Amino acid sequence: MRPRTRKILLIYSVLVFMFFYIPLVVLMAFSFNDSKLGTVWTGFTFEWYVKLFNNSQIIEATVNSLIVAVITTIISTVLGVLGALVLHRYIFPGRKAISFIFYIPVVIPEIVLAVALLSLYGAMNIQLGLLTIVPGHVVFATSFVILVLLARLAGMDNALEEAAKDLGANEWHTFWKVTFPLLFPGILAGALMAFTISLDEFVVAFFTTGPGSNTLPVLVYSMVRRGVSPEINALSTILILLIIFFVSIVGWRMMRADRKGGEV
Amino acid sequence: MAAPYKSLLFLCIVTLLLTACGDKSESSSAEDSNQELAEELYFFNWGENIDPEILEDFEEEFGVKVIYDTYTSNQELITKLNSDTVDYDVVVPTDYFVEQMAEEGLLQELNMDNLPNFKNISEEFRNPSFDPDNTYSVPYLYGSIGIAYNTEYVDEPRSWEALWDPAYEGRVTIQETPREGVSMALQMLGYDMNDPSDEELMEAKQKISEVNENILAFDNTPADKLVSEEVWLAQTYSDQAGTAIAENDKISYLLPEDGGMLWMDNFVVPVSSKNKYTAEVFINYMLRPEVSKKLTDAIPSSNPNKAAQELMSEEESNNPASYPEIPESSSFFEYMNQEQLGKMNQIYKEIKVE
Amino acid sequence: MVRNIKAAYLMLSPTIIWLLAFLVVPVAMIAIISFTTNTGFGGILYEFSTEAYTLAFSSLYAQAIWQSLWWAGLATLSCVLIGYPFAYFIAHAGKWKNLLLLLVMIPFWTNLLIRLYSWIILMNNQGAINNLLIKLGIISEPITMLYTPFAVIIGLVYGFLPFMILPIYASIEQLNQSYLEAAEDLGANPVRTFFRVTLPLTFPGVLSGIVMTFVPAVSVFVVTDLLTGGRLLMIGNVIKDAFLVEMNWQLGSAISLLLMALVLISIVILMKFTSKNNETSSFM
Repeated sequence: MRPRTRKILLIYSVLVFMFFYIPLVVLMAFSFNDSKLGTVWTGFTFEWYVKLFNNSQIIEATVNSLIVAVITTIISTVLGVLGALVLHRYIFPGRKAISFIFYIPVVIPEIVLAVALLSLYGAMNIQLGLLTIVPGHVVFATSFVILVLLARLAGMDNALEEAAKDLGANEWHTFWKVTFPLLFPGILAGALMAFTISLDEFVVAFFTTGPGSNTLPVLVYSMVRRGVSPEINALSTILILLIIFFVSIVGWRMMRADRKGGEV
Repeated sequence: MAAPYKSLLFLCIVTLLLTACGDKSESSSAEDSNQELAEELYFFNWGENIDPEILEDFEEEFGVKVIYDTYTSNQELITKLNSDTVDYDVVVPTDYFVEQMAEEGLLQELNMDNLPNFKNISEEFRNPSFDPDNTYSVPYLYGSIGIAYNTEYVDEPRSWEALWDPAYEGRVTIQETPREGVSMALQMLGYDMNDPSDEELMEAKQKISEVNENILAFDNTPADKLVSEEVWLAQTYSDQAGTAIAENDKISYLLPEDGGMLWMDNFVVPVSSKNKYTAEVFINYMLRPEVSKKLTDAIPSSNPNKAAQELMSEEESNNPASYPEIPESSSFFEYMNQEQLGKMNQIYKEIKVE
Repeated sequence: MVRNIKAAYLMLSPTIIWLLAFLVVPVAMIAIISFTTNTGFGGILYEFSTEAYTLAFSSLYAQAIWQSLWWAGLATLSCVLIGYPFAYFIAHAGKWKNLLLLLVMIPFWTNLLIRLYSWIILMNNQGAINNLLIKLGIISEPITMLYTPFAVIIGLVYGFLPFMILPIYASIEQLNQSYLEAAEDLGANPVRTFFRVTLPLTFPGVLSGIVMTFVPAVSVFVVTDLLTGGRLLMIGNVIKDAFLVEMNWQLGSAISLLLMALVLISIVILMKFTSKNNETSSFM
């Protein structure tokens, strides 16, 4: 890249990051808002933080959401990697039909899958719990993982893998030593996507969760009739600051390593 | 080919796992006559519709853990109960949904011997049209749909007509729920909002299409817009108005002379409940005057509990949002057949597409 | 490409079984329900009826679908234009790229509803953007942004941009630098290199991004509900209301199936069309 192109891209990317982060700054500011109504500023308060720490409902729901999101991410990443590799590499009867199925979760409105799964659970006499959310979330997330990976695989150089095999490496070895590292940025992108989809999904979650296992998005959505409590803003503020804190530590260490490397 | 068998095996394992993880709620199935408290009570309520302390106090006093979940609409509640996958002990549907649920056999009859505090409920809220002998339901909270308005910019609105006044163009919101909006037009035209004819609905549609020119948004939660004074006039729930009044004292609320609508949320015990006695003990606890008072201290809805009202200060019981003057012409939403309801929904859709 | 049918089926079986159990079977149930008789309040009478389809084929829903496709299309186009250069930048950020990727996703771990409330705060008539513009003397009267199609686009782009950025990133990141150098050595200017080499090689990523952005954006309902004040009839809202307001499962199912068929057919056409001009035939 030419220096000038790089500079323009840098400024451009900072603008895009602002587009992402300005709403976050606003919602963090409103966690200190005196008004219970999420969108009017009336004064400064710490009240919502105090309330949040006494609100076991919100805290439990947050933990539930994280549990579901982590399980969903693990399952859908594994299923997605397997699916994408097979679809990319092998030719077999039914391949077209199967790749067609992978597109359905992207296309299906969440509410349809939600009520369909609810009827399925009903028909099978399954009592709902926290983990009954997982199948639906995995269905959505797996498709997204596969789509990202197929895009990655489409541009991947197969020569390295073939070379490894020519040198006598077995399939398993080839996968872990060659394919996986080559595929990793795609896997990471897919896993991030799966986690994000599951963490903030509330339609399927509402209809497939059991008593005492609300997730955070379900809880927040149910607050809409009376106005979402600024406790949610307070919670988000704490979580965002925690994440940013960890990211900064990593960034700072990388920066330091950079400087040391420069000195040598 | 071993693959299909493997697949089948896998499917079985998945199913077993799912069944196993969902099964934890399987508690001892109690007979109807069982008068013992269960260890847990499953309570499914509207979002932001309780003071958590009330539940904590109950847990402490009775040693029953309350598992508390929330929903956003009656339809969501019914869909979930219908599926037979959850066993809640107490749920809180709104007026005519009680009738519907009872008809579909989703509800258990209440044993009034376990509900001595029912006497606290004000006479006028007993025996509602949707459950004539309180066979299945006990009032929880009630409220109305009327007009919230900004006294600085708007003269006291006498009729729903005020929302049609071009002077307020872009400063008006009406309810997003089709039935609630169309009922307003019907009341304004002097028709029965619970049993409109096709011609009456056509006229109502014309009215809605006129007000569509005047409104900023279809909104079930305009409280924030009222407070910021982006909106001056809103057809809205009394509790939205109450929330807005608490933050901006220029706002007031009333039921127009054409009527206004009333609604009531009610405790019911679904058939899925295995702990009816515990559920009744809980409902009875909720009907205590001091508990009920605590509830409406936290929630801007109106209290049907007479004993609780007596505990309220003058200021509290004169709040125009919670206790407005209720005109003769106002009415509860009643059960409506699918066809009429469908037409009401259709009116909104057609207007939005135009 | 390898022809080893047994290995292929074995590796695919977990994924396929999962999707059969939790997607194909439920969708089949929905398809059956769409042909049953509606008895009101979510009631399903197993008697054959095509009433739902008669309703679904009305011009009303055609208009709603058209509107939704239009706004989702515009939002997707904006996402490509915004997302591609951004993904390009991240992919070339060396060792910082994973960190930057994380920074893209972090905002999306916060609840969508309260993020949309932030946009309401920013965009309303007395909101931050209008105040700023008035103070700067750029405008004298507030511009109405909320409750307009502009707000829908902002909301959709904000909600779905990462789904465009990630797949594009995943394909740019592995771009072989030697191709670009070769192009430059052969005397191609950077613009030409980009359109002749970079873009075609990363096109699979763009395609994935388009599918993952456009398709969910068509049937979304929260964004449009909050930012348009319910003034536009979008198909996502129609479907949600069919299930959750009218409790007419038959109608909801019928419209959903029609919408899904329409979108799937367009994806197939898109793939066919692009695979002719590209080497990415492995896609579908």
